[in-house]
Amino acid sequence: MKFKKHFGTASAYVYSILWTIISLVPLLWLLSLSFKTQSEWNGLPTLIPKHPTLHNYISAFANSPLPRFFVNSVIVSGVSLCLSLAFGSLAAYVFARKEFPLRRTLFYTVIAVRMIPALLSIIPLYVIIYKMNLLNTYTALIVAYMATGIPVVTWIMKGFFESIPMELEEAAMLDGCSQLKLFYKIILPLAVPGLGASAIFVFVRIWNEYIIALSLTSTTVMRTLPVGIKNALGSRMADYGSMAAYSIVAIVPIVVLFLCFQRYFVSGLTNGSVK
Amino acid sequence: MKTKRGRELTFSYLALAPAMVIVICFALFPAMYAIYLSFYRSNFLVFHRQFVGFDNYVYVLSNSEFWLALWKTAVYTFWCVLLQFLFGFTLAIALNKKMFGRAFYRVCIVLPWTLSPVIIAILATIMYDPSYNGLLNFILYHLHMIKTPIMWLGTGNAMRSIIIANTWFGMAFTMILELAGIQSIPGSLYEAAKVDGASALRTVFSITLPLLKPTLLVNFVWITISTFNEFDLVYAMTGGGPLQETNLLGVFMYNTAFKYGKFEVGSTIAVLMFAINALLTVLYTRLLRGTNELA
Repeated sequence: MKFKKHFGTASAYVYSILWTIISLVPLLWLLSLSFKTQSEWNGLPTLIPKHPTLHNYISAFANSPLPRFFVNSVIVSGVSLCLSLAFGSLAAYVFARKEFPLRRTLFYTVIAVRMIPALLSIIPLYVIIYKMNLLNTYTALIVAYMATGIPVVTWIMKGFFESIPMELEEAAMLDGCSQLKLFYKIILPLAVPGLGASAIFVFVRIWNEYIIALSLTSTTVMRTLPVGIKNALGSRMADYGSMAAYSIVAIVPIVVLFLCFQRYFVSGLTNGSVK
Repeated sequence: MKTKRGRELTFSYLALAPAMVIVICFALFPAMYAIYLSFYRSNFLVFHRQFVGFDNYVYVLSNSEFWLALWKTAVYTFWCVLLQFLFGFTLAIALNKKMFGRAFYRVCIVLPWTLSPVIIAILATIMYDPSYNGLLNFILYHLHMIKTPIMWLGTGNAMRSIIIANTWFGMAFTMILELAGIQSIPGSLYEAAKVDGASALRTVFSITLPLLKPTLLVNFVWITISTFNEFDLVYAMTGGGPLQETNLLGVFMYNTAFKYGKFEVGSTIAVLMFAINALLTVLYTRLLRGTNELA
């Protein structure tokens, strides 16, 4: 019995550590490549660069549209994330708390939309954006991303709001708080873990999104990171140093954000709709 | 009292309005519009649009390329879902145990999942370098698992390689979801099982899995659909090559629409893919019956 128990714990350790290595090695390899010179990436692989150089980063920032891609991605992802969180959580709150005609229909519409793959909506989206004369603008990407972000936020947040006791709102109501103020000042701060989990889910999708950004933008100056990087590298697939440097630039923001919010992540899902 | 109810209703609808407008205009309407388009034909979407009935469907369904892409997508989806679930679920169980450095392992294993498929494609291209000094070949050679370097993205290997890449970065989603699911199972059940002397394996099969059914349903539907509709990763990594070996439905659809300008045929393929998604969802719901709604 004792042996069995230790065996279980030991194999859990071995398995977890093995996967940690499998997950990290390619990423560390990418990081290491980005500091290597050309002669080094053709030679025997070493994890620590022998002659570390910033050359790849300097050329990535100096003679390429990479900074522009970065700014585009930050603007598009930032705005659509904030608006998705604001509108999505408000909608989730109404669905969780209020009784009104069409409540179920509207809720299931929002939830069902999550099942629509980008591939299905991309052609019509292109037509709609074209007719609205918004092709190749930030607005086009922001509304398209909000349409994918809002359902996810609504889905995760509804469970959170349902777990907050009613009495709180009733008390605030008696104090004459307006409904909107009540929501943003009292209810939302209680649901921060849910917002954290939703933010990660939505941001990971938007920051990394490829096909919508590829179809709705057309000039280099409007490209977001994934599309821009893919295009920029098309011509130099063998230039591992700049491939790595470009990738690292795209990875850093998402990893930083993830590390900031990760403590909400699993707990956020546990308390939310998935239970 | 009546005015209070009125104010509640006004608030509800006003608060819902922004979310609903965006979702309906830019998600629901496009999906409907795709179905509409699949019954028409035009020149580059704009000129001479005319109703053609089921012509596009007949055209697609009698095209052998479509069936080949469907078969490849089925193979790809089968292996990716199987491997993602296998590794994700076992890791969720392992990482639910109390151990030193647990948070660190969790974060590291989830990291690949947060990256863009395009970045994964770049990373995979680098790892799959076909020379002796390509990292994967180098490691496998020194572990004596291979004798000559493998052309990972060459003919005969490409499908296997994209499945590995997909599993490597998609697996963590299952892990997170199942970890959340496992944590919501009351600990008292496990204690009871322990008292009864149930083995670890027995506990997994008679407590964890049955109680996880709702999570399993969400999990399987999600990973199956997202793998079936795969586009970015494969498009960026192989572009459907070599020799159409990895030409999955997503890539086939995209090329038909945006490369050859047959937008209506592309829409038709997308609608067929969506129908298959719906069918798979129903199938899973049947298989994992006893679970509540899909939300």
